Amino acid sequence: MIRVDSITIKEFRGIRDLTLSLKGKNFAVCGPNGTGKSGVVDALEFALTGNVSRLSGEGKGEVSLKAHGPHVDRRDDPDKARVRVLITIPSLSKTVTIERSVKAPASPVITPSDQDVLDVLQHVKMHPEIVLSRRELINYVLATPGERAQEVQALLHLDRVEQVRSTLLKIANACDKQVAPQASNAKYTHDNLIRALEITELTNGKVLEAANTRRAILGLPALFELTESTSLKDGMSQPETSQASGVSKKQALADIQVTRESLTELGSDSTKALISGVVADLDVLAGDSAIEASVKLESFYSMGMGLVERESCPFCDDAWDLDKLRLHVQGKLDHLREVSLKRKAIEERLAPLASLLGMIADNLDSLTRQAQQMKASLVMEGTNGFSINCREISNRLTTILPLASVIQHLTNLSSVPDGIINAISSFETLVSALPEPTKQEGAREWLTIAQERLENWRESVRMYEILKERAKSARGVYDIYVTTSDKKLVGLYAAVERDFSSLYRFANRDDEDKFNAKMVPSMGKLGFDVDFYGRGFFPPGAYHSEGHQDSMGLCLYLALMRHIQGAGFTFAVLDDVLMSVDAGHRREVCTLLKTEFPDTQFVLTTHDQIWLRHMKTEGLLVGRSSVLFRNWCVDTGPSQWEEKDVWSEIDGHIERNDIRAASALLRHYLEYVSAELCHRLRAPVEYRGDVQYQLGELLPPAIAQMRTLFKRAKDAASSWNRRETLDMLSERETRFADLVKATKADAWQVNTSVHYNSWDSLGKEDFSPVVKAYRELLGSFTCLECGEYLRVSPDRETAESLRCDCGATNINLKKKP
Amino acid sequence: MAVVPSPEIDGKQDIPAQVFESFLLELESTGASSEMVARLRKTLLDDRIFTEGALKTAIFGEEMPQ
Repeated sequence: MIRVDSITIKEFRGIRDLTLSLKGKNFAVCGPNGTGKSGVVDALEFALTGNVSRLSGEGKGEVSLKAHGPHVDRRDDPDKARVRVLITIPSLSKTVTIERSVKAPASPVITPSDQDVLDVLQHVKMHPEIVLSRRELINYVLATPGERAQEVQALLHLDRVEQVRSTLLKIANACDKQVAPQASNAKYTHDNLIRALEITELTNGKVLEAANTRRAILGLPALFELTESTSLKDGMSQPETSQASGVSKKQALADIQVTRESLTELGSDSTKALISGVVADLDVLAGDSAIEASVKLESFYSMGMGLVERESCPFCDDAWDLDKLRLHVQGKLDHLREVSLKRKAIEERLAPLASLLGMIADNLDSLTRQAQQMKASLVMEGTNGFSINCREISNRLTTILPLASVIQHLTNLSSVPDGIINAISSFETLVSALPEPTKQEGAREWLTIAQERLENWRESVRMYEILKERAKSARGVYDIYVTTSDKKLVGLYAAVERDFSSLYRFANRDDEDKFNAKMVPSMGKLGFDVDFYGRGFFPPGAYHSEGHQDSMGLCLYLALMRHIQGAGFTFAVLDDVLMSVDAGHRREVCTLLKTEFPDTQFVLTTHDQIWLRHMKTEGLLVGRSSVLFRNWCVDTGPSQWEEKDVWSEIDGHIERNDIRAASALLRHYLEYVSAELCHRLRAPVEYRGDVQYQLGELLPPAIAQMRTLFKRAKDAASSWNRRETLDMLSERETRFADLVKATKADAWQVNTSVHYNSWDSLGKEDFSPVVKAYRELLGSFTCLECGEYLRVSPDRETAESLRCDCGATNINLKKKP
Repeated sequence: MAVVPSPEIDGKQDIPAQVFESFLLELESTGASSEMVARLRKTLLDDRIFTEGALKTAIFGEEMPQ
């Protein structure tokens, strides 16, 4: 996609004004904690995506890019907080400038703003994973399978795949749940229709026969077929009912009869026996608090198992491992199996009672409506409460909890209140008093009610068929989705698994050259087990050291990125990753990055200068491809160890007669440079296990080594009979000796703390010559052309030359054989 | 079945799009209505909307009761 050539950061996060020249190459930002490294990472992410992950998203509370992106002294002026990057897009061979301000992060100024450039930048924006922190890296390795799945899925944008799966499942489940109630409704309308038609079986022939009998009475032509649009009363004139009441006497009496029968069934001995048996069983459960609690728990677990379909707890939103959770809950359910069996048995016995109560409520409501049509609402008024109660209990009996409430409802149902029986009898009296319809009126009533109930039944069946079809369709879509996505993901993870194992083997080939890993995906989780020295496969955190785990995280990230972006993986920021990798493997990791990802520009941050050195010596970083932050303050932001700036700063302190500050800075800088010189010159230094070297322990060895190198170089030049070189070396050696003498630095070895501790007691006139002497001494360690400190090459084994990176200085150290 | 090139964005693989594409091809091969497949294709691949409402409409069509 892109490579970053330079970045300029102004008034952004902890940085006031900083420009880094990356030149499209690997680049390292090194410095102690709190010196502004992460500010550079934030600025890169902001410039490329318009966002800073650390300031947005879950758990960031009141912190935001808008409010806290600008430097703290510019928080009221977000327009001043700006980042500009110069990038190259290799695929387009174009160089592009992107400048964003915190005031308008979504409106960068892009030059040139060609469509192909915008397309690439949009793609970069969609891949914020180009920035990887150690926290994220560890998430890939040490997370639970569920959390890991989320991390990896987010990286691969598979969260969309999972989101679609869970939504399709939700749709399928919802559709399933709609089918059963509609089936009950279809049965109810079916029974109503049969009763109205006065037939025993609902077939086209029987319906037509019954209808044509009535149509013949009215002189209407016979119907020969029954289609979805056929009306039984086709051609019948108004009024449709002859009764002044608008109620069919015959049908009303039939409905009364059905209602009575259902009430009789409710009060029957068999129902009473059923109720008393269930109540007795429930009493047993309720009598033992432990059992009741178990019933509640079992019901809770069972319901939970049906509802668990998300990747996180709906209460606290903590992620969970779906399969592990299901196994765990199933274990509890198994433990409560006996209680479960009892509960299910009781609920099965309650099901017909619930259905009967629902039917009674429907029938009573129907009679009430007919009473209203007869302007006799009062007659049935007393049944209203009972009907509501029946319906409520019917709904409640789908579960046995809460036990006490269910027992109470069932006990009250043991007999039908007399008021209900009386109300129905009164209504029956009213209906019976209606005049008998004539044969024609009877036929007209029959056709009207039959048609109405036929339509109700048709609509109910139609809805049932639709819902059934929808449920089937939704389930089919879900099943196919699961099958195909599983297949695709298995292939994807297999490829990533191979690449990951290969990368890890490369980085750890000294002791794990037979390493392998297993990534086992399933919906909602990603199992990840790794081989531990041939002893079997275990979770990465089980036996491997932290350093190995860091290495695994990086390799997994690299494998995933290579799979996602392919040749487009040209840029990544590795923010303080691999901090715990041991020295031996750091070199291998550097080699891995250099050789396996030669087309990827890595920006690496670290607080560890030894790490930085490894990156350089292994060739991951070449030339001036790093910046070393020495400190940070809120007024100026990070400051770098840059030669020119350091001497100017020291001069400034002297100018202000602040010798204490000048001497402190000189000492600090000399400590840094001495360590660098010892490394470059391969100077023998007395080893310290705590790696806490004082200036007097580093600078004298560097000077001594330089003298040794001059001597070796002169010997080599003599053996090759190189007179000019010999003269040049003698001159440099003499000057070097004079400069050392001027500083008296080599005397420190005798007493390492005397000299620099006394600097801050010097006056301005006394300290200026000291600074001058050290500046010139350090200059004598550099290439006269490029100003870089000289280094011994190679950095291991027999020294062959003393040289710089520009090539202008290359002094032979090997004598003629 | 014809080989369908992997969906790509700016020349890079878009894995979710590949998953969706495979799903749609399989759905079509199992006899799902071409209208449904077209609606799902538009929702998943063109509009990239993954809400319950959008997917329900894509499966059942606008005219179906929700």
